[in-house]
Amino acid sequence: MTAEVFLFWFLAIVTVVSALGVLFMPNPIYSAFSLIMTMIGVSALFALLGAYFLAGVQVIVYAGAVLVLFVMVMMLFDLKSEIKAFTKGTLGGVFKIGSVAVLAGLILSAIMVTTQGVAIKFQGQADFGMQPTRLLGNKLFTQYVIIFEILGALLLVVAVGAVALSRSKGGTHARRID
Amino acid sequence: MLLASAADLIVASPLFVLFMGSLTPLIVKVLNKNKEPNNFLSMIQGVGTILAALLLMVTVYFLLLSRANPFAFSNLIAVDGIAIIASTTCLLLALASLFLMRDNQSTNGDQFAELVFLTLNSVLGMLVLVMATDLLTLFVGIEVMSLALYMMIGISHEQKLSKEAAIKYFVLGSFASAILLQGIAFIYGNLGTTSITVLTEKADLLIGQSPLFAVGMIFLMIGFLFKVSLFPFHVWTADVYQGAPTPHTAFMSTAVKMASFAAFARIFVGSFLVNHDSMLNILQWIGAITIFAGNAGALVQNNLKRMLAFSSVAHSGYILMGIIVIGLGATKLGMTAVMFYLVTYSIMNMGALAMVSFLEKSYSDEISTDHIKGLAYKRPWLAGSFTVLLISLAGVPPALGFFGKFFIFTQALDQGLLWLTLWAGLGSVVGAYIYLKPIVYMYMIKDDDQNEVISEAAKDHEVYNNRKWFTKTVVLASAFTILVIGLLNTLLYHLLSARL
Repeated sequence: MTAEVFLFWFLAIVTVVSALGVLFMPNPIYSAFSLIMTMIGVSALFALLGAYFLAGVQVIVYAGAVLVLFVMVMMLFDLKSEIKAFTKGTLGGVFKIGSVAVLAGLILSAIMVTTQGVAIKFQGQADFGMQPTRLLGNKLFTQYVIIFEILGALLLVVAVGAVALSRSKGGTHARRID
Repeated sequence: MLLASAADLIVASPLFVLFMGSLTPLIVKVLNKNKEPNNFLSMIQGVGTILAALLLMVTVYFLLLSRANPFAFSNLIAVDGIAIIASTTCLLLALASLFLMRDNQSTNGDQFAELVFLTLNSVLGMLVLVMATDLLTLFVGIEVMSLALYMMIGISHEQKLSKEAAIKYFVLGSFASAILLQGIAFIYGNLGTTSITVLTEKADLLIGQSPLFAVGMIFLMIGFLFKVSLFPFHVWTADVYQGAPTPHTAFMSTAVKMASFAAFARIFVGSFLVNHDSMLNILQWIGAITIFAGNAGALVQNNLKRMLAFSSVAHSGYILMGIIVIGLGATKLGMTAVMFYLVTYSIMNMGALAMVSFLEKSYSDEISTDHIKGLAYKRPWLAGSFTVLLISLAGVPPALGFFGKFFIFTQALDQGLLWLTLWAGLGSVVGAYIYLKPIVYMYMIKDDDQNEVISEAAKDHEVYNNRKWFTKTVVLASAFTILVIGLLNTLLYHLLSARL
């Protein structure tokens, strides 16, 4: 069993188990955390495949967005008992943080090992490191520039729509008239 | 490689104008210290933007026609025959929807500026979708169109059904989009490109050779089946169309269907169904069952909006027949039949739902067949228009709807789809009943409580409804168009045929 294969199976199991955790955890906050774990696992898998840009984006966008989601869950819903269950006990807390640290270290080392030691076979060209990212950037701003621009419009639509939705009648920030 | 040439920018100019114009109502609102500007003003801004985009679109089309190369932005978008027919129709339908939104109680008033913004951006997505000659542009177009729609439904003043509709549509729509994207990934894996032009050239070969490519095509189709509400992905339609404000229902059931079917048809140009019998059979079954599911669902409804929702499912089934014809190799004839059906269906359904929107008395009002009892005696012109629209939807010969069905059925028969045509014919006979029911209620059943004392509130509603001039215009105009094009149907057919 080579290091690459070992890393793949390790990351695959982490990803699948935490994905199942999202489904089966009764506590929404645990679910949100499992989702972060899944995202990180997927991004490590991307890194293993040599898609560093995708791995980075996965962490920044998804893990970041999931964190926002997590905060929203805590703010919007009344989850006092769930939050209490999560923060209960010093020993439990130490154990939790410790296990997160171990897992994070494992994943980090996994990424380090893959990027340095293991030769990754590309099907096409033998570009390594930042080259695919540069290629992607070039493509995005030349060949696919129209899609890029339309996605800009999409983001504005979502932003305006989200504000409008929260201020509409029955929304969380509705104006009190009537 | 250049960023984009001037020619590219000219091709995309309708999109830019639409986006920039969509910002004006928002800017006016912000400059107005975040107080809602006059609804009429916002609507006029929207209407002006749409008309400008329409003008540009037609100009661009004729400019490109002389250059004989409809593509732009490294073949990502093209303004060809399908694009020009579908986009002009979508823009006009959006115009009519804006008229309805201005008048309807569940959409006007607060947050109308945002609504205009979202509507225009939804149309932007539709234009991108119908112009798309690449699977990536297609996906982005679908997303812009749908995301704007979800939120348009969500910001309705009605607080229960519309929120439910928005959430249902959003969750199911997201699943459909994800499956569509998965399909695109599979296709890219086999084809090595996302270009629809290449896809249509190689599809008939690849579909037999590579099972993964077939899976990709199936996923792609599932995404579209959802968007155009075909069996087994049609169940959301009734709830969403009922819960959404009526102007949005009108917009969804016409413009969204037009844009989605136009893009759907593009993929079938490759005539890959010729080499794949099982897929052909499955699609035929989907078509037949959709027609029956739609008509059977509509049979038991008393709620007019729900009834029209199910009827739109049935109409999707008829259009799928045309799509199958395209997939069998009769590209030009099939495409003309599909486009003809889509254009005519859009006019009829827009008019019918405008009528429902006209009758609504408050933001949470639901119009059932009881509400239109004896309407012909109170509002003869509107009832007459509604009758024309319903007869056309039923497909009774002199009206326009008949010719749409006629062209599709004859094309299907030419391709040897005998059984499918037979089922569809039976389905439309069943369907005739559902459209005749409201007519019977309007003309033959007298309103019982005419002598009752009319309350003040009811009088106010009556006065308000009398002022829905824009909605009335849409109803009368669409009925008039149906009658005129019904007489000149071959003219429209040749007009469309010449473009494709």
